[in-house]
Amino acid sequence: MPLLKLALRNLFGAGLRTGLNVFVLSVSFVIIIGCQGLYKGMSEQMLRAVTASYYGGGQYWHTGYDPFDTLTLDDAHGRLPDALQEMAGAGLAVPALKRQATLYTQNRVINITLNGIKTDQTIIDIPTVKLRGGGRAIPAIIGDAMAKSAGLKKGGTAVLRWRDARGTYDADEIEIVETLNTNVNAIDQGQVWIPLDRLQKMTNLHGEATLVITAVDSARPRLDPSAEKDWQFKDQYFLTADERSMMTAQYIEGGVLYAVFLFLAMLGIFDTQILAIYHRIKEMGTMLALGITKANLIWIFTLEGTLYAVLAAVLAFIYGTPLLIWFARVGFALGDSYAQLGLTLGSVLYPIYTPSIVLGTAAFIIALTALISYLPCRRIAKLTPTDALRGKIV
Amino acid sequence: MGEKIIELKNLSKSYPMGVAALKALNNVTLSFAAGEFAGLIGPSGSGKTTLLNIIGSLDLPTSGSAKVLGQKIEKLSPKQAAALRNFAIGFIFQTFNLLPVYTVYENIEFPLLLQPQLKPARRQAMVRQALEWVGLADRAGSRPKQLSGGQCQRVAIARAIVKNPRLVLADEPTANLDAQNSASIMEIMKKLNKELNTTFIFSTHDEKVIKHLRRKIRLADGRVASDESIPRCRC
Repeated sequence: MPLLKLALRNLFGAGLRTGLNVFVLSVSFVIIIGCQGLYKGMSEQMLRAVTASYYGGGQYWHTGYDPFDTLTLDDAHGRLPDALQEMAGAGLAVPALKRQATLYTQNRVINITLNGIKTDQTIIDIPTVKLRGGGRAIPAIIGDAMAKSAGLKKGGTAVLRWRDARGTYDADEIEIVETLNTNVNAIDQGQVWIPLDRLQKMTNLHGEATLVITAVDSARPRLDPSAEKDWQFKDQYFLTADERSMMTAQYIEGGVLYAVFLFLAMLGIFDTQILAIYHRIKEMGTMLALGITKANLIWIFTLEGTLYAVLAAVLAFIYGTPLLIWFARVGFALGDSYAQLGLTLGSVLYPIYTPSIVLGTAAFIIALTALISYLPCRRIAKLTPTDALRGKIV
Repeated sequence: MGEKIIELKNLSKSYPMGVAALKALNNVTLSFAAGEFAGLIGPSGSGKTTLLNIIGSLDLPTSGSAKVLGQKIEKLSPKQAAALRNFAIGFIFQTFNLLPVYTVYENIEFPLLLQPQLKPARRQAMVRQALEWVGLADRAGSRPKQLSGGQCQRVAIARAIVKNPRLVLADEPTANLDAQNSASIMEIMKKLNKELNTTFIFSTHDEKVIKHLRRKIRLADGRVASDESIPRCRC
């Protein structure tokens, strides 16, 4: 039986009602895919930024290093194994020494992490070349957020106090040679970057480091067993765990928005299908009287609802594709609020639409539409033809 | 007299009304032969529509038996009942019951689409012929809302007879029509009855219909009060 033909007749015969439902649903398609693309873009942009600015292709951590434990930070250092030294020499890795320190500036005392990094490195996006030379003061780079909270700016000075390897306090003046315009918190808030050799000298930790940042896509060297015990490799997946969990939290929040749009999209179809039960019940009774089976009747109305979503997907494809492509090129300007939320994003967010987002969202909406079309139609099965002809609902 | 196509024996139908039951049909025994032009006559609540619904396999009797075109209605599964309605019985309703989003052509074609063995060309020919019978060939592309009441009922007649059913059940077919349209509709049905030998059973209390009937079965309180036949004119 040409159920599809009958469903299409119902659909196209309804004219304006179909047009409006399809249009509303297509708008929801575009908005939902647009939002999904924004989250995907946000996630990719965030991971790209932290990878380029700090995590590189992964890091070797000294076994004593725990980024969440500042009390043991001063004990987390060791000499680089030969393999990592070779890697650093070849420009495929950069060692960094981390120490606890205190900054005295603008009548404030700020606990910071002092990062020593090689000035000629090109592995992460910190302009360490600016740390070369300088006057008597220790050249330092800080992030914008750190500069703001410490009341410092480029060319400004502050007093730095630290402890050397034996625990002896020492202090000196630092000069801010550059402020970083970055959204990566890990290199900004509470972080001061100075030349590695200078920090090693200040702390009597010659040739030692806390971690080694490797270049993206660099091959992992084979460490000898004793070195492997002291230096553990942390891959990008491990390093970006916080960012990913933050994105998950954002995604869940975004899920509410997603649900609202989805609800609006479904409302049109659900409304049509529910109203069909009440307003088209006589129509269904007539169809039953003309000899259609209940199963086929349910199929026709379920197909009709599903076809709304299919037509909406086609319409959304027609006007949504150029719109979303344009949106992906121009991007979405972000205010300061996102930076304040701790999200590592640039000033413009570029959405990313993958086939899985587009096809997955379309398939999900079509399946959901089929379901919500089917459920009210099931009620028809409870009607006797005479009740349906009288327009009586069960 | 043709072969008996409907045999109703001791047919009763009750509807629950709170704790009591409303008896719509009470021990009705009737039979109809092929080619009859008969009417169930009576006031509202006399059981006309209930009887028509049972004959049309839209409803089931509470007791008794109804044999229609060789099939016992009370024994049919919903699917078998649907097939009986689709292949052998045509319905005409008081309020026309046209499918509002379909064109005249599509409304008439609908029952044929439920018969998968029909080829599109044959289907098209049958619809065209039905349109000719009711004189609406020029309105095939119109939608029901663009038609007058009389035209709507003519579409409903075309839809009922397009599949060449052996039986057409018409429930108050002229109730929503003026005298002129009623007469026109009745003439069409009389012509189809004569030319196609289709059995017509009406439910009506409209004198404009009653005067055309060759058999008048009066119902009162769910019982057959009288059953009077007029011999077919051989002129």
